Amino acid sequence: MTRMTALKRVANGVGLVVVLAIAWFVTQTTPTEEEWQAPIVVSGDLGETLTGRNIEAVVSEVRIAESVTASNGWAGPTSGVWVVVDTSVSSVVDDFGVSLGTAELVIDGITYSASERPDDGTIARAPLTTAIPLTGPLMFEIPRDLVESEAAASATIQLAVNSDPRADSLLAITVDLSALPLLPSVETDEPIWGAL
Amino acid sequence: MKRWVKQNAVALVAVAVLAPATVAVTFSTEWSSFLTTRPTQPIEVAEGLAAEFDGAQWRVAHTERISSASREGVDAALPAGSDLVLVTVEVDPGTLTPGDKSSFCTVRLGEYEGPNDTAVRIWGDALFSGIDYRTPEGVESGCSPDIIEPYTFTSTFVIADDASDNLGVLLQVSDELPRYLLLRL
Repeated sequence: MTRMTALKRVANGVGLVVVLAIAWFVTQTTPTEEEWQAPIVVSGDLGETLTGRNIEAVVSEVRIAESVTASNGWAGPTSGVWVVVDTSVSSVVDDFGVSLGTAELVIDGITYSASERPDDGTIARAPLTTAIPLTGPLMFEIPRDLVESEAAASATIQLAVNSDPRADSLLAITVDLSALPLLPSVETDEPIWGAL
Repeated sequence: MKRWVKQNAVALVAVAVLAPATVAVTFSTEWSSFLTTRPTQPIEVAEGLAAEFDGAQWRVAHTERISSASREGVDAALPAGSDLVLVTVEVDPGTLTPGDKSSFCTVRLGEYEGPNDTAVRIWGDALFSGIDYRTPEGVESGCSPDIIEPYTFTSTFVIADDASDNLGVLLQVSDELPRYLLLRL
């Protein structure tokens, strides 16, 4: 074997190793289907206006109560507690077929959807208008012992247009539920369409 | 190295051509079906002019913008910070016989801005929005396929009061997608 042939073989071997290393890196870093379809999260705090692709919202107040009475007279008895979230929300670019389809409270990885039982006393699933806010309450019914848990300190309110926020904006507001007092009852305001 | 390139020239050219071609073919199918099922090709019509579309003639005959702060706006129970835009469209469905259907359309209102004059905000028809405005007697509130004679309809849009006057009606007929009429106001 000449020296040149030996060098060629070594170079081929190194080339193969490099190709295999690149293939391994690509395999390891390729996003999974769940990852590339995941919502694009826009995080913020209470009172902060958050803007996504086609949703803008501000959560102004969060309360916890043993019972809640909506503006339309609906009263919600529960063995748990109600988390009442006052929110103002609008679409940003287009309101064709757009509603507040995702309104969730996530505590310790468990997702609670906003109750639709209060009907027009809540803005859950209400249609949105471009640049004209809809302001009103969202009510979440959660187990009583959850508000005293450690996980309640980092609860997240998630808002998005339509019910499937994959590959679209998801507004996420972190709230410390454990720091809020448990009120005996809460009466919510009537949802208002228009600037406040 | 040069020799190796020469020896493998055909294979290298094949890879250089086939790899991007494969990507293009894979994505073009999805991309073209996305584009053809959405209103992506506007037929722009200058203010006041008529246009033929889906076998019918369309013309914006009248527009009106009412502030929520005005007397009429208060009467119409408009939300604060909004304007009501009324757009009256004349439709000539063409030669149809009883039993035929004229075009069914969807109308939206766009606000246009920027060097490319693109729609930055779009509002849907406010027919079911809960405002207290009713179109006058004898005037339709949207496209009416059952009418085969010339008629007019008035669409209502509740838009933000900071929207400019550079507005246009996007008139879609599902059979004509991706083409749609952009009637400038």
